[in-house]
Amino acid sequence: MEIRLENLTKVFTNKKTTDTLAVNQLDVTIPSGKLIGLLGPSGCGKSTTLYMISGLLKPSQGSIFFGDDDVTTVPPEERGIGLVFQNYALYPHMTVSQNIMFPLENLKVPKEEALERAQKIADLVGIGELMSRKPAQLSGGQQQRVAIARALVKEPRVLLLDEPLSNLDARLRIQTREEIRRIQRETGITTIFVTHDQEEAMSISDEIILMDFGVKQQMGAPQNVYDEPENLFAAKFLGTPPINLFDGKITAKKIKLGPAVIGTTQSAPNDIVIGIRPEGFVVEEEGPIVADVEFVETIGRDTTLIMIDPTDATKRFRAIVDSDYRIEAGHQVQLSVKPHKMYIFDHETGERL
Amino acid sequence: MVLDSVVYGDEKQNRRKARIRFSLVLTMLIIFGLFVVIPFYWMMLTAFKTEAQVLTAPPILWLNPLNWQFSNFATAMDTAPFLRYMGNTVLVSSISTVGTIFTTVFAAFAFARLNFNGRDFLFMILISTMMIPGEIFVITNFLTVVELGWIQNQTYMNAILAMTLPFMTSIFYIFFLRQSFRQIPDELYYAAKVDGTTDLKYLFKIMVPIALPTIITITILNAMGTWNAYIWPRLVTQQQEFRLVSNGLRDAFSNIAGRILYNEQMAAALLVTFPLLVVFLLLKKYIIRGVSRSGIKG
Amino acid sequence: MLEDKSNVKAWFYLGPALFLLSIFIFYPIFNALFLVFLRDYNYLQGTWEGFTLFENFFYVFRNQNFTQALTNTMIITFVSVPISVIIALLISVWLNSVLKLRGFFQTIFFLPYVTNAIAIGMAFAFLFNQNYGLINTMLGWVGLNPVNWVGLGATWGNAMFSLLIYVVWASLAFKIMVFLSGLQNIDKQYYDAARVDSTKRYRIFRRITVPLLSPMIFYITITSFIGAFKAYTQVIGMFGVRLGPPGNDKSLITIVALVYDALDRSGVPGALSEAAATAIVLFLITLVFTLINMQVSKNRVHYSGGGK
Repeated sequence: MEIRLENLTKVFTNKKTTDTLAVNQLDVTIPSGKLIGLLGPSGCGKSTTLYMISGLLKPSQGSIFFGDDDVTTVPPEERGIGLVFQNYALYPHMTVSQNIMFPLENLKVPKEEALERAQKIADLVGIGELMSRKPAQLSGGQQQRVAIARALVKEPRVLLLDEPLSNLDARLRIQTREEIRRIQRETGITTIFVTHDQEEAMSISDEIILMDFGVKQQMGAPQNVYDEPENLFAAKFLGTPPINLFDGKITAKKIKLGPAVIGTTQSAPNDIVIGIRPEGFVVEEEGPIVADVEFVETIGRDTTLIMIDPTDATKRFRAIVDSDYRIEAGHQVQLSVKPHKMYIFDHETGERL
Repeated sequence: MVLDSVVYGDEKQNRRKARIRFSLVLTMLIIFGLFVVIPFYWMMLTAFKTEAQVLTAPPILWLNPLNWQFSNFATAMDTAPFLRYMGNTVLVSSISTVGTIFTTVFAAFAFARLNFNGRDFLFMILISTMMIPGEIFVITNFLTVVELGWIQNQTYMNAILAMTLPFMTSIFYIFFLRQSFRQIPDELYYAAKVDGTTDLKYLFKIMVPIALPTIITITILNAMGTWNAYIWPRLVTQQQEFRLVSNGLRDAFSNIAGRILYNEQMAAALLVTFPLLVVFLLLKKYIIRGVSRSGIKG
Repeated sequence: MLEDKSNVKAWFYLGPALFLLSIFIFYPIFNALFLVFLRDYNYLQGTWEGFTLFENFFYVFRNQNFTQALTNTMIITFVSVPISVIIALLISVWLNSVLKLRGFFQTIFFLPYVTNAIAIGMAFAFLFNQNYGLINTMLGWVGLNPVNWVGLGATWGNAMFSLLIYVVWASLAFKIMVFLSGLQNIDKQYYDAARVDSTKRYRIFRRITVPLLSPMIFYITITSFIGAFKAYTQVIGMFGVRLGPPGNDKSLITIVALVYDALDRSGVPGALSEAAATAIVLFLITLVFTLINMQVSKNRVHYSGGGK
């Protein structure tokens, strides 16, 4: 099921304070059968978008299409969606099987069929043995699976997950996200999940939609967005450790970081922000950037150099280099930059140049 | 080292201190415990005494169970139809409790879950009337019941209506239920909405079962309220046999001229008290939890 | 959807409760405010002699029992509430500090909550009986003479003393239940921290327990005051409808008793207005003391961050 959002806008009106523009003219087409990560910092409008797709929130403007159907005004229960909440929202007084069967009850599915379907879906998510337990007797990961089973049991056209992993501990998170990936592949259902954790989104999504301030920043396959950020926000948001940013200039088609010339461009002379990924530096004797090394961290095969920004001595930047180089703190190094790991952005608009 | 000596001191000495403290606390608890229990004991003791034993000075403080005079209960029952009063009380309490739960659950749901114009304003009005003493309502409610024709030539049906209808809802219980409804995460409601659950079904399948402890508390509080009701039933009942236990008890032993037969009076009092004590011991856990919660205003 | 107003549905859900509340709460409030300004309202004929601002209140104050009722109500309130709050607080702290026997004592102390006020009132009356009662017997053990607490011609003071003992007894259970559950909700860490600092027991009580329990103490005190101003059934339980020991009738009359007194005379012109005026006076007294209470407690109640 392809999902199309056209000009989707949500304004929260509040009597006491000013109105909040949570989602601003969002145009997105989500391809059928894919796992899509809706990514952004908290308050960026990603959950609001998800809730509008679910039908729990009504858009202030714009339309939502499921395939060719305009579902903008269709109530949630008629959209054919499954929704998994951040806190799972399991009914505490019902057993696992009662929880999973609850949506079918509303669809007037005969009891035996409902039981059969519940068992099948429970087996799929790996909780088939826990059907008679109450939610309080389950671990966080098991509760999560019950919530997914409950969302899937009515065979929805779209599966929506709101921060599905944020209530789990680190180890379980990795395990569960692979589980979500597997379930999505096996069912082939179009799935959108909301997260603020870039690693989570990058690791399992077919495509990610990056949002900030209610506006779509970039959409694409995770590696593409990482390799080709369209703006400063996208560059800053993805990557650990984060991208290094320097104030720079373009003069006579040369990209200048302080005195160092680190590349060429066709753009007009301008103040720019230069972004260089930590892995984008190479230690070279002839390298144009000269910096003082403050710390050296060697973990396994990587060496991280923490260095003083040559344009602003109050700032630091990181480079991840091969551990073949033996560099000590307090020394000076010369660095050159891998061209495909460096991006330049307009100083005012943040747009990629 | 210094810290050690301050915190732990001499272990032997500390243990002795703790034992002394425990004995002191225990003594106080026993003294106050006796203060609480003595009236019950006195009631029971007297209820089993013969008239001669009652009128012995100094009083007999312990009675061999073999010498208990059970006939006091029979005599008490002859003095007034206590079984009838208990029946009335159970009936009135059941009707008003069912009615109260019905009206308050719906109202609390509206306040906790639905979005409508004037919700906060209406709720504020309800809360502010909780301060007003019931006597202000009683005056007019008495007139209302008279106007409804439930007093003149009163039938049993009229009496039951007069004793239950004004108590079929309660602002405090609406408030109390709303509090426990609001503790249920919103996501449960959204999840149910996505699955096409109607509000009514959500209320009865999800909210009510989750808030069941509160509903049990309301049932208990309401039942005990009826068991203790004295003023209103006395005002609105025209015949002896329509009254509730408290009225029956008070009236049966107030009108006798001259000497009061204490053993019969206490036997009747025990009859009235006993069912409540049994209920308490059976439902102790729920009552304590519920009452404590009702006292901790959220 | 979520934000849609569901006005029609809401009123449907509120309907039954609002219907009953309108008849038995809202209308009576307005009617009481109406009655109190009518001159010589004759309820049987539905007539009155014009309006008056204060006359019905004068009736209340000129009632021969008013001063007595006001005095009694005040004494019952201001003696029984502080005493029972303090005793209940102590008992719950003691209960909380013992592990052994706690369940047993809990049951004992909660018993009075589930009794019939009239039945226990009668038991108390007999406890205080001059010749055959336990109290005088116990006084005899320590060499004191028997006192006529509640018998024929008993003095007001003796009768009031007996009543107060009963009122305190009856009001302990609820307070202990609430305090004890409050104590059990206090984080043990505070006590551990205090012990590490080797704080003395009574200081722990004064500096940790009471402040952390203060919102609850405050709430209980206010509701107890409101409840105590309405004292009436306890008097009926101990002394019957005579509201006093034999030969000293109505000596323990309370303000609420005055309301019902007036209501019993409902056929007499002006009686209903007098009842309404009495109830309004009671409300105003309650209101004033509640406001004073809130003012006094303002600086002494400690509300923890997100607490209830």
